[in-house]
Amino acid sequence: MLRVVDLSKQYWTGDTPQVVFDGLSFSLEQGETMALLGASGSGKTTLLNLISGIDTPDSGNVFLDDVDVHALVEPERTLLRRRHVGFVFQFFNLIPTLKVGENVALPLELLGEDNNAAQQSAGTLLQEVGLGGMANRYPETLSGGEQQRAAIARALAHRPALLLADEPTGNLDEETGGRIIELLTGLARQQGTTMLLVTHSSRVGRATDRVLRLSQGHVAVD
Amino acid sequence: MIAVNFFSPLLLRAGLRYMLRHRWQGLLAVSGIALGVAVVLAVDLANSGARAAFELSAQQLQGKTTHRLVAPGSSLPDDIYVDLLRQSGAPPMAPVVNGWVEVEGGSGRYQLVGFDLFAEAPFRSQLTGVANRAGFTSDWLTQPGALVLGAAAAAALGVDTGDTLNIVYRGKTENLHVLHIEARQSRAADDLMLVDIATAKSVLSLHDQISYVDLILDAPAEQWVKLRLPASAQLQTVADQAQGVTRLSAAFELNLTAMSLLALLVGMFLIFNAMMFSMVQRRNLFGRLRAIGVTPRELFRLILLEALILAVAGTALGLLLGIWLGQGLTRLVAATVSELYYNVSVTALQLDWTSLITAAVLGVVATLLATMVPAWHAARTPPLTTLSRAALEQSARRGVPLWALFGLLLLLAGLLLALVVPGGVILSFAGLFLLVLGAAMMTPMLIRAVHRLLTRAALPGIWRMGVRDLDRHLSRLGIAVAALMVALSASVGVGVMVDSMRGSVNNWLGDLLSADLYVAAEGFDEGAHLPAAVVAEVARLGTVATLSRYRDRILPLADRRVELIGASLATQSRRGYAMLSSTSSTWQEFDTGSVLVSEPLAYHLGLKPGTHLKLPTPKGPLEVRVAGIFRDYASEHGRIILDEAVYLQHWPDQPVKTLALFARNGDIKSMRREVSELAARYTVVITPAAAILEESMAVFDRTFRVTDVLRIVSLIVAFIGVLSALMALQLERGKEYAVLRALGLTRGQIAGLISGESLLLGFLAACVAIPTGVLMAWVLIESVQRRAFGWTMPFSVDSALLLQTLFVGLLAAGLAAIYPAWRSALRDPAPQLRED
Repeated sequence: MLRVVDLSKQYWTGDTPQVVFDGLSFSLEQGETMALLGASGSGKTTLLNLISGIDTPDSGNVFLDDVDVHALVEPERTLLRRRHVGFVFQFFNLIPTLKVGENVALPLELLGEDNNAAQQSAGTLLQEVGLGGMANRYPETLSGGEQQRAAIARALAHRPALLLADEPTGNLDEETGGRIIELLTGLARQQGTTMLLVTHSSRVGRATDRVLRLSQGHVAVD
Repeated sequence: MIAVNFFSPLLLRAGLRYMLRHRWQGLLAVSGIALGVAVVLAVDLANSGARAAFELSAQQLQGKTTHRLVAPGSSLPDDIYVDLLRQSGAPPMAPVVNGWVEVEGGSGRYQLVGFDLFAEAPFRSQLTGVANRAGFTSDWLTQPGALVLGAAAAAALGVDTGDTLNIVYRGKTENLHVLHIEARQSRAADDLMLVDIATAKSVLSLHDQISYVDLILDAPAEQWVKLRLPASAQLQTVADQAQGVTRLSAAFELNLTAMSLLALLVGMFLIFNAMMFSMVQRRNLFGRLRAIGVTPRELFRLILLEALILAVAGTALGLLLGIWLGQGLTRLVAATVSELYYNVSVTALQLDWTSLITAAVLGVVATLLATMVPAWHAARTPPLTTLSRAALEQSARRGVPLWALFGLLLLLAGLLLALVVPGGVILSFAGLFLLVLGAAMMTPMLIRAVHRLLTRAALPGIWRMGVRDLDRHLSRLGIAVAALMVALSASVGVGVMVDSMRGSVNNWLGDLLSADLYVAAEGFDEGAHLPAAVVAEVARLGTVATLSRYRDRILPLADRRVELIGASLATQSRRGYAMLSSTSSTWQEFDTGSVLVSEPLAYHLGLKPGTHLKLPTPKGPLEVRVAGIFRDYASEHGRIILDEAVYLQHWPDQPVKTLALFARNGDIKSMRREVSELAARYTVVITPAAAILEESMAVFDRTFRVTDVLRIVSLIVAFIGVLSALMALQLERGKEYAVLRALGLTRGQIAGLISGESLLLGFLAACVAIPTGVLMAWVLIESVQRRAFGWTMPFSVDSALLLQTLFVGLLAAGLAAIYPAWRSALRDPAPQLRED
């Protein structure tokens, strides 16, 4: 479902190159969940950005359902992301000027779904993530854990083929984080969604089917 | 491929809620649009109001008239009318006598119009409508001095039916009594006084003469009249005549319109500023939206739609504000137009739909245009960059040299358009706008240069922060400084131009008014003249060493109303003429029939010494040679001076209008006493040169009062720009200040930091505004004034004005900092420190 082939990326600090990946390759099957472990600065977030088409690699390819993501032009990559990818961020990144229900309905509405139907689906998903009755509240009135639940609901609202989660528990306490990972993996499996989760916590990694360690631009499978 | 919705309601809702959450920012953007629109509308309303008042007044007097028989620059002998009327097949004709009079104890001027009641019926309803009232016709014809007045004029003068009014014309007073007050007259007719033609002739001292004859002509009738027309009379269509007069003030209107567009340009900077802030503040939001699949096009549409909402709100407010501002401005413009061009009486603002629609369209289009760049910026940035806090500043910093280069090219193109490329005044203004825009684009480069300079200076910690912020927030501060710079430079440009012109006019008048005493006819209309006895007696006075005589009339020449002066010039008077182009034999040529031409006329007709000019005279065209070109600011339409002897050969009946007297042995006192004794027997005005100079300069200052108002409005717009920039910046840096407070900075230090930064902005804006403004003044003088009015003037820059600009820049920035500084200093840092 997801194939990363010989991916390389480096950043420049003045005249000095900083290699993030050098010939990185791995793949994920449909419905598989995988954790990508790595220390801070190991390039975990950069990898997610390359997979989703937000960032571009220096060389190599990312195939999503056999579509070469980086062979597409930027607007096409955006539409691919809209349709096939769900994102969960460390800092939730909910839209502060939209209510929780509207945040969840937004991906559906962007895909052309009728506003009422989108709101209805959002309501159902919010029930599933344990936020029933909070649809009409603004994100800032929710706790960190609740905001991340809402973010998960938004990421899965349009039933994406691929769910990318960037340190989803990084901003939460251990107990809340544990529940969030449970919810995330549970829902992904329930929907048959392929999930790539980046984290620096080995404990989080245990909840997924596979674990990949990222170190000095290369990967090692556990 | 996936179909993209034209617009997501949720996206729109997110945008609208953002605006509601940041009311201050929205309000300031709306104020910027509103003020820009208001100034454009107010000036347009004032211009069109003055023009419409004149046209309405003219139309009311025209009635069904299609043509007018006139003697250019003079009145028409009765005989011409009578001769035409007596011939068989004569078309409908109505003689009219009119002139401007004053009312004793009243203010303002009134147009006294004398009609022949029996000839009026096919033409106008003013009199014939009233004439149906019982007893009116007999009273009108039998009561000498009977007058019909509009209700508004009667109210202004405090008179009622049966009351007497003392009408003053050229110092002579005549009593008229109010026979009827007409309530149905329009605003434009406030200054009309209707009398019988015989009464008008008596008041205006027009014996055996009328002002003009109105005619209703079809094509054959026009031919009929043309065949029988004497050489001294001219047949004009009424449309041509009105157009000729309204064209007089076209350049004045253009100047005002340019000033108002400059205010709109400042307003556009403000909108650009506000939208750019809004983009910067929401970069995280846009990043999130882009990450979840919102396309650049959708973001672009969202931002433009937001701008449209702001534009509609701002424009609506601007229209209301413009109407209010227009009321004050209309009075100012009407007063100036009356003083300089033609008499208009505007008592109330007339709402003109074209002006309203133009201002509304301009407001919306300008807002959308100003939003294009920020919208494009936000939409085109890849999601990662949008998410990065520093990315925008980095990109802004990278773009600075490119913007500066583009700005320099625009500035040079502007100078080229205004000063090198041949063309009209519109091209000059286009050049002026490019120049200002170019300088604005170069402003961020200057900020960077100053930043580098100040960074090297060892400033204390807190001030070092302020200086570094210049560079850190360049994308936002650059625009705010540019907006203030544009307003300040407009103020400098117009100020230097007005100062230069004032100095030139002062010098010119000082040289020209070389005589010790001037004797002129009392009255203010074209035909005012001195009694022949006065001219003869003054010449015989022992205290008068020598004198110059001036006779003048208006001549239509190449669509202009040129003043033709027949002069007998004393040597001292000749010295007063500043010759811009002459030969060693200019005055000898003048004495033998060549003419001196004023600079504006020479510029427009391409005249120089040695070229020839054809003057229309009652005896047919007179070809004269140009002996010299003299500096002249008296009339943008031009003046021609011809030796009195030659003049009298063609216009033998033209009386003397003014005498310039030179005292024997410098004894002005004795000469003044003798002339005053003589003047007591006649209605003449005796004025020393100094008094004329003083009055002329007072008129000059009144003329530019409108410009002053517009300069102030532009500065208010720029002030809002700086306020908006600082407010938005404070909003964004809330957490930074909270950290500083947590580290131990006092509230006073926070307020000081913000105020210091703001003052630095004001200082920078003034530093760029001064050279830009001087350059603008140069274009205004060398190109705009030259092409619009035809005159040149020495360029003079008053250092006090430049210092004043620096002060105004600092003041605007200092005032704009008060609220943001107070707000930031008082803010509780705790909640902001808790935010992620």
